[in-house]
Amino acid sequence: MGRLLSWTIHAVTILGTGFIIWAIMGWAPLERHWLPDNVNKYGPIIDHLFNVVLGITAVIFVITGVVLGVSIGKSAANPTKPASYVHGSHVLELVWSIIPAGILLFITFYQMDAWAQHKMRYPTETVDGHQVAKKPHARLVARQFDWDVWYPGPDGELGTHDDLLNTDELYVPVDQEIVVQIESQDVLHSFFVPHMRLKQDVVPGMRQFVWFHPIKQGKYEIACTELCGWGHYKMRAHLHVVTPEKYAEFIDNLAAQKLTVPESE
Amino acid sequence: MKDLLTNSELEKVSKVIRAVHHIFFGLGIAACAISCGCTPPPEFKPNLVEIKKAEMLKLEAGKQIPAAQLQDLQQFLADGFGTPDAAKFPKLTPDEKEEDGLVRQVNLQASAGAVLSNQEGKAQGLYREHCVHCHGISGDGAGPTAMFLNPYPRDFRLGKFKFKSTPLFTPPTHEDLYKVLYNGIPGTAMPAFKRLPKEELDSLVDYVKYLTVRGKSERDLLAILMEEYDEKLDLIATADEKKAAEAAAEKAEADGAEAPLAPIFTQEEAVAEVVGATVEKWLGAVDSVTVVPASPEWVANPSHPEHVAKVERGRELFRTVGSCAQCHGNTGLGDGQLNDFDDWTKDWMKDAGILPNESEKIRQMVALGALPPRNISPRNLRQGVFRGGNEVRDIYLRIKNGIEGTPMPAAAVTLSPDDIWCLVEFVRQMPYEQINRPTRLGNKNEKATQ
Amino acid sequence: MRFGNAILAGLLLSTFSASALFAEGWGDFKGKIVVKGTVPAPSPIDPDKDKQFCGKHKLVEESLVVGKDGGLQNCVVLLFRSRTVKQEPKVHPSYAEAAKKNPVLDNKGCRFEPHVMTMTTAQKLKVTNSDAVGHNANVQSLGNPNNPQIPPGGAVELDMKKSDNLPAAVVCGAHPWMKAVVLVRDEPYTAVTNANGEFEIKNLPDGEWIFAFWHERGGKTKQGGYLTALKAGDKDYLDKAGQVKITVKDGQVVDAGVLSIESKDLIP
Repeated sequence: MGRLLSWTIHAVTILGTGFIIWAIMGWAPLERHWLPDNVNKYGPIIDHLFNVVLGITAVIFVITGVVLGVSIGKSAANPTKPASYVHGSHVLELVWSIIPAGILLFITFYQMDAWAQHKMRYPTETVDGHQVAKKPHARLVARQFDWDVWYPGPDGELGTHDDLLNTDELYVPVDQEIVVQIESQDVLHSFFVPHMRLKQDVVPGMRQFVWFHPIKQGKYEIACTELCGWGHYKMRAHLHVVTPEKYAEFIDNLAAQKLTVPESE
Repeated sequence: MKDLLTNSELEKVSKVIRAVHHIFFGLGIAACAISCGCTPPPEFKPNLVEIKKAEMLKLEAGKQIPAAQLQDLQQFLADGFGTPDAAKFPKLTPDEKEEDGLVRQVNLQASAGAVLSNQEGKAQGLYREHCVHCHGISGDGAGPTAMFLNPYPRDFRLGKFKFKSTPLFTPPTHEDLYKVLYNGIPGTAMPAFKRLPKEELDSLVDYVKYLTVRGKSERDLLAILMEEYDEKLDLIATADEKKAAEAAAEKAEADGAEAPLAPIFTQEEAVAEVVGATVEKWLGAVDSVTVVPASPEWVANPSHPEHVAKVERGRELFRTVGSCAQCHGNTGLGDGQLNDFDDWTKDWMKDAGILPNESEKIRQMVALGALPPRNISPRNLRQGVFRGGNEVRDIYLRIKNGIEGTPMPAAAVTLSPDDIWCLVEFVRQMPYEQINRPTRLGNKNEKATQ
Repeated sequence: MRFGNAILAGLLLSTFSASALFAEGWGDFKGKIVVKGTVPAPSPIDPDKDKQFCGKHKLVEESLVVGKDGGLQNCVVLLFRSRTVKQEPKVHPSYAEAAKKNPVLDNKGCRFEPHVMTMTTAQKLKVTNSDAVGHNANVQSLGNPNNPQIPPGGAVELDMKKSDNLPAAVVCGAHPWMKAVVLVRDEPYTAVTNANGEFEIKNLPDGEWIFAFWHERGGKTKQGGYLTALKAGDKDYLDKAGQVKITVKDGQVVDAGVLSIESKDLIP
């Protein structure tokens, strides 16, 4: 029994590590199972932190797995050997408290800048020589089960009566700092853009801001990543990163559709 | 140390524990195996509320419509419209072509039935995947989650829809229903289904029409049955049975005896007359679409020189000729006056002679499937939430045509298109105007919005 | 399919339709309906909308209006019509003039005037608003539904092209106590009893006609329905379904006399 357990643990260690390596390398059938393309200027730091933590935990995973497997295997090999009764080891206690604490402390300080960049340093822009907070590009209202996007209308201001409502399509111009205001209409949702390495819980009653700086055009997925009801699985939207000209064209078309009725044929 | 168990006692105990574990494990497996594939297929529910209402209106107290007549009705519906798993739409005439009909069979098939595959291009069971938990298997707006929603999901069976481009008492067009699915209804629990491919949305629209025609035909047939009611009356019979009954009636007439009752319809007659009446209206809806005139330049254009004056005219119309303030309140908060109900509630309350304070009768109806009644209030226009869509054309249509199923009437015919655009613009900017500092009428020097 | 029904109707109803085709003369139908027994006074309405304006007029519930000698007002006398019974009499030329005028339903003093009316499909219903507040006329006719807003001092003309089997309610959405009853028919052979309970229908074609009597307190619920318990003297005037078959002969008047109904047979 013990031998079987020992081999099982070894198998878990080997297979688990192998599986992760397989996914990282993108070999079939695990293509696209690792991190998606990063298109956010501030994304690489997130990936870097991810890899650092993964590396640390991988090392610990292998060490603990091997130690566990070997010790169980050894005791299984000597079934009649009497068990040793350990009265505690002060040294061991110190070692396995200080080393993990040190690692965690290291991670804490190592990621502070990334956290500040993503959650605290609200983007600013220079207006008339002053640094002012950048106005939101759009207002995203999460509701069961779609994302309502409000764009500023022809007057360029969000929160006026010519705002344009679109559903599930967030258009942003490329190579610009984009701030998005997110709110929830009903329950908890979470705004998740994997390609931007961006995730923010949308809390009812709170108005929050997220920011990113897209560097590559394309159509990326926005998913809801906080269980919000029966339709949570399909609460998706698209983030379209386009050239400023295409963005202006999109807004013009939306304004024409929402704010005017053309002469009928 | 007499408390410790001996070895043999230990063995016995552990054997018992293991045995108990094995029994429960086995039972669990068996239960799973048995329940898999043993749920019966869903069935359309008969419109129990409507039946009870008919009994209350036409029969002596305590009497009920005989089961045979109700069974007749359900059988007709099953023969004509199929089941939730196998939907079909009856042909009005034997040589009717599908392109001229109201729905496409391929669309019904994709929406009906159990959810089989969500791979694109292989949709099946769309209605049950997306709609049934709110709108119910029969489209009665009383699915499992309906009770917790405000407003309630739509009951398709009355054939009334709120947000459409056709006037009151005319059915919506295919595009109207498509638009509701595509955009959702902001401010309610109806989400936007924009993510679904066009074929799936078309399929769902056809299934909604199917449920509507089916539900409405059920109601209409029940009304016809109750019109000259006799408990021995046959609602629907085969052509032979009807001919035989007519012959017997003729003979009885000749003999001077009382003529036995003949069936009201044959299957084909019921389809042609009752189902046909509804289908004709729906097919004709596209010819009754209200054309929204081109929007003037000052609409949604605050920098236009006429904008302020037009908004002020809108404000004046809101309070006087348009009579909007009467219900929506002077400040548009919806605090005008109304303790009315929407048509879907009045259908089984007021039309059945049940007053709002007769809680016992209401309880009976709720037990049969009606949803607990809620008053309908005029919209709070200051929230800027427009359920029918916030495009300027949508707001124009709501004002011009009214909203079917609610107390909102069609705008006075004395309002010109320009007047209605003034109202549209006033309503659009109302949420952004400070409630305690609206411009006073007559003071032209003050800016309309700060 | 419909032809089959028509034939069946003709067979079951023997010679009614047949006789109508051969009408050559015209006769009248008249009578008087009274209520026997104690009739409660109309209960007052407390308007909870537009109190400032509507509260000025003493409004009462008008579904049961009975005159001094018991005359039942606002009872609609009409030809019975259903899916299977379709009576289509020829119209006497004297009605041609009236057909050109449009009847008026006025919103006045937060009530509809008249409370009960009939009209033909050749006419348009003119709904006017003589009040300083807005009203809307939610016409709940099965064949001619409508719900227009009428501004203060304004008027709308509604097409009423389809014949209804039964009278329909007209209610105001903003002032829910306001109710009127309108019957739209192809034929002008309808009447509403006056303050004394009297009705007269002139120039019916020769032949047999089935009439019924509709009242807001008839039927089984507050939606109104046919009166079934009318008596001429001691005998029942109507059959079980609330209908009476009269025979009209040229130049003669069918006088139903005084028809009475117990107040207990009118729903409370």
